[in-house]
Amino acid sequence: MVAGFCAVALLSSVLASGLAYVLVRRAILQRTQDAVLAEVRETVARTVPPELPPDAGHAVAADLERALTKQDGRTRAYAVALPLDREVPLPHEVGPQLHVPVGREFARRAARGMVFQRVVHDGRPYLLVGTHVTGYRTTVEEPQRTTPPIVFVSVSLQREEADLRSFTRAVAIADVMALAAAFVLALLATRSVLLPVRQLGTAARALGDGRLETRLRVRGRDELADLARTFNGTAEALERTVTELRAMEAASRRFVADVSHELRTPLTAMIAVTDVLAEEGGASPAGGTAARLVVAEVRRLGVLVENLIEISRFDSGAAALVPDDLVVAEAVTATLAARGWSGQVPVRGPDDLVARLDPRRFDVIIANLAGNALRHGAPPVRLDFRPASRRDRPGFELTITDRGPGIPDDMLALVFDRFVKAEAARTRSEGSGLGLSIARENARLHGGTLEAANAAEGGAVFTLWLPLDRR
Amino acid sequence: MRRTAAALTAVSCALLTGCGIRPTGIISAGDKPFIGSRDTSVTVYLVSARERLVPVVRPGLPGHPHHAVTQLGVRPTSLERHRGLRNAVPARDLLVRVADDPSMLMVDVDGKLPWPRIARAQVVCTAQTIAGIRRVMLVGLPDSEGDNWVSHACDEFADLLE
Repeated sequence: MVAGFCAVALLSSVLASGLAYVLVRRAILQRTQDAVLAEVRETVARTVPPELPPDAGHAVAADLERALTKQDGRTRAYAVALPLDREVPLPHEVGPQLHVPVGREFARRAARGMVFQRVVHDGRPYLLVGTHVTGYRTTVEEPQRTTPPIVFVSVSLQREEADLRSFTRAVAIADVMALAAAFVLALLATRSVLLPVRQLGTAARALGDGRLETRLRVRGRDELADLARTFNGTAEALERTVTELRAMEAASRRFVADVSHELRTPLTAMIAVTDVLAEEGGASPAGGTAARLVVAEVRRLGVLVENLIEISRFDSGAAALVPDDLVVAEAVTATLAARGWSGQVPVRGPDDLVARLDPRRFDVIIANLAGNALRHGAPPVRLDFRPASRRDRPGFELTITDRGPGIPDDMLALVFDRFVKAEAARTRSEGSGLGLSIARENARLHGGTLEAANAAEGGAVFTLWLPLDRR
Repeated sequence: MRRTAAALTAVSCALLTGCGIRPTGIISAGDKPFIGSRDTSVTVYLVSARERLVPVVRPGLPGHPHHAVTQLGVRPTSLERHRGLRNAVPARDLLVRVADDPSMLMVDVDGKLPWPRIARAQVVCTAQTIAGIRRVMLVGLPDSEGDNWVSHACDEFADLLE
């Protein structure tokens, strides 16, 4: 923008000075030419008599040369009798008579009227004037003896050239000053335009980064001020909406948490009662089946409520780690043994790998993943772990693979969402639909990741990565 | 930006090549100057067929007061020749100067050529038509006694006048 300003200023000043230069040059040269032509015309008219005495041409020529030659050497003159039957004899060399050689054509045209020409000779400019006179009387029989001489005058234009040079210098200095002024003005102007634009950009970035309270100061009444006002309005509306949404979300989470808590107490009581019911109802076969069904469903409800409470803890940010140094191989084996899956899931990995983990949460992750594989995938289910660094952070990678049908491609992205079930047809399952969500939340709480994919040879692969030491 | 720079370069190039005083072709400055000075005339004595001095009028030359005597160095015009007049002065270049006495005109002549009396009469009488000139000295032309510094007046040649 500054460069544009300067370019415009330079262009206009150069154009203006170029125009001025051309006009001044024309004026200077015109003035000199007019003065020289008038003087030559006047001198010739005054010096040459209307009728020449016979053979007095050389005397008149000498008079003319004397009258036209200036002492300072700026103007020189050459007059010679005009031959009527041949070419005008011209000075052979440039010397005391004229500054510049006279061309044949110039001499021919000078014999017919007054002519002039600007000539550059040896790098110096000169004005050459040539003329003959009219209004004289001569004789019919001997015109040669009484014809006035032809005159050539050369004037040095070095003074005019020097004037032009000094003018050019002055104009160049003026141009440079105009450019400097334009530069300063451009800096000032762009400051007033670019600064608000930059502020606007910074504010927009801040808004994008989530700092919704960002506002701009509105200055002036121009378009930029308008833009700033619009920005402020938009930011305000956005902040209001987001605050409302957050409030609503918080309210709904609180509601879920409250509901879960409220359900837990009666459920605990119900579980205790249904256990008794099952023992008593075991007498009759029909009553036993019904009682077992009720017990199983009540237990499932209990698990669901526990999971909901767990999830709402994550949502409210109340979940906290209780880390401990854990031998991974031992922890995994213990988890599988506790669930009775030791025989179904072979474990491979270094025995001496120690990580700082929350034992309860690690147990939840492994149980959820292994249970998921056993329930939905087909055997053999395998569990492998090995040390693996991610982004220069030491950690370990744990994969659980099965040989089942795998996860449908459209479900891969959603598999960790709440209440999502891979097999839509099976609406009822033993799972709560929250297990994978909880596993992932726990992995995140450790600073790790949990990803789902399909193996090339079929079957689902869940990859858990956790750092060895939580920072 | 690039286009602006190109335009600037073009303008400066045009300016640089257009700087200074450029030569021109031959330009007409109008008609020839018209002579503004006035006619003057001088009287010159020539020799008639009957060997007498006859005055003729010739155009004068402003700024050359003794031009009449210088005119005796050229041959008569065709018009004068038609009238039977001739010039007896044998010299081509007559150097004329004024002596300390402003009424005395000194004419330097080449004495090697024979100067008839009528030629001397021509010079003396022509010189005496010039205002202020009373006597004429022909330097380099001694008289019959060998005196080089003799001044003459036109009266001495009254017998030659018509």
